[in-house]
Amino acid sequence: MVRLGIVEYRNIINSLQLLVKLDFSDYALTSLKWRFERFIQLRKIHSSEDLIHRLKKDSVFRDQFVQAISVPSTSMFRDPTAWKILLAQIEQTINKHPNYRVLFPDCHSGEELYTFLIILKEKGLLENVKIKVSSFSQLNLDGIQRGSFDLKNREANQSNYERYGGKHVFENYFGITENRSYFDKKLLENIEFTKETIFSSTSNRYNLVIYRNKLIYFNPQLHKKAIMEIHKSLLPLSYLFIGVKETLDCCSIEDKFQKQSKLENIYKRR
Amino acid sequence: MNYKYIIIGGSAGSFQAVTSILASLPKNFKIPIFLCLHRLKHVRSGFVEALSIKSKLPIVEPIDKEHIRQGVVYLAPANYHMYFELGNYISLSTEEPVNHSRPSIDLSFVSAAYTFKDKLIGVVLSGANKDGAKGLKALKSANGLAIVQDPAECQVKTMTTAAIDETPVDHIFTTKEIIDFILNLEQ
Repeated sequence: MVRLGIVEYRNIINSLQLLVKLDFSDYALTSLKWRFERFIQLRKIHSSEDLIHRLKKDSVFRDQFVQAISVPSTSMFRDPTAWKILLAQIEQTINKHPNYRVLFPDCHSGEELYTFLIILKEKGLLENVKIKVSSFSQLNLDGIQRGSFDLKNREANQSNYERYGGKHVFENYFGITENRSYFDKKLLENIEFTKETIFSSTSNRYNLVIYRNKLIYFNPQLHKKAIMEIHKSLLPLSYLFIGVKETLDCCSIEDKFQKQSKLENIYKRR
Repeated sequence: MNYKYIIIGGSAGSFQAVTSILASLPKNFKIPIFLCLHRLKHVRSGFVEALSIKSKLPIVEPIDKEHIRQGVVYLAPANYHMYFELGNYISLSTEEPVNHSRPSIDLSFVSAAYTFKDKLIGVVLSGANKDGAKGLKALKSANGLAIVQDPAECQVKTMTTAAIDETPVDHIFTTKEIIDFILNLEQ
């Protein structure tokens, strides 16, 4: 296993800042260091100097590295009860509100997005919702738009969907070619894809921000900053949906958000 | 001895050893204990309750960035990797499974070794895959103390023998010896 020292780790972060204008200096150290090390190992790179050299010289390699350090979502319908409770909270408003706006910042793979689209479709609400999806990696955005997923997660996706209480046979949502499943592109009609981060976004007036298992990749300072950005992008009385093991408690935000569910991390902006 | 943290990794066949260890610790036992146990990804509740039945120490599944406190047992939550950050707090991650596992024992041990260095004791218990072997090696390289449950006692030997093959461990102990050793740390 490759192990980076702290100086090498910082050098890579500095190079990214220069080369791709992305600031990873306040990301959570353990996971980001592991992602660097994993890439170095998988691509059989000799050293951090070698990595930085190739980042400078080769734009394709650079894009691949940026993609590799983003963390994909694990599976569709992860935490099925959380999605059920979210739907119960927002369904009425979407019904009444034909221009319901949803933001998926730092969306590096499509599992959570397609989960949400399937939920909306099954409720006949897809046409009422406009969604903006962002990632700092163009390769990720392209991948999400292809709607293609590795079949190794097929069983987990299927059983999560059943636990959620989906109305249909899950496999009817996609076709299968070789080792991948392809989702129906009609699901993507109301979606805008943008290359940006939560910190570079100027988006505002959203009714819902879905940001599950993203705050965990930030250190406490950046975590707080991200919550402030999200607060700015939301309309009053709109919703924030975060991961089951994440919290806003760290940030003295009692005046900004109120938790809506005892069990699940659904917050309402004040 | 100056050990301040204990991390325990286990998989198939480890539940009995873990509950025995927890049942033996007095309620004033101070060293925080981290449990990284393979578990069903989709079952979020029930495990803490099952482990708590005989434990005098509180057992919690940490939320992200939870501060590490003395006298608490931390169980890696279902479907998250559990890491340890400088600044004495826990962080979580949904990164890819390692050794088909999330939580992965290797990732937790590597992170604990990096952060706690020679203040750390790592224990690998019964299990059916090789998760933990590389983690225990990292822990030894960082001058931590490596303990492996005696494979002869394990319901499934794969994990403990993989750990012993990967790195020269400090002790190969039965559950009873592991308990005596841990109790002795605060004598």
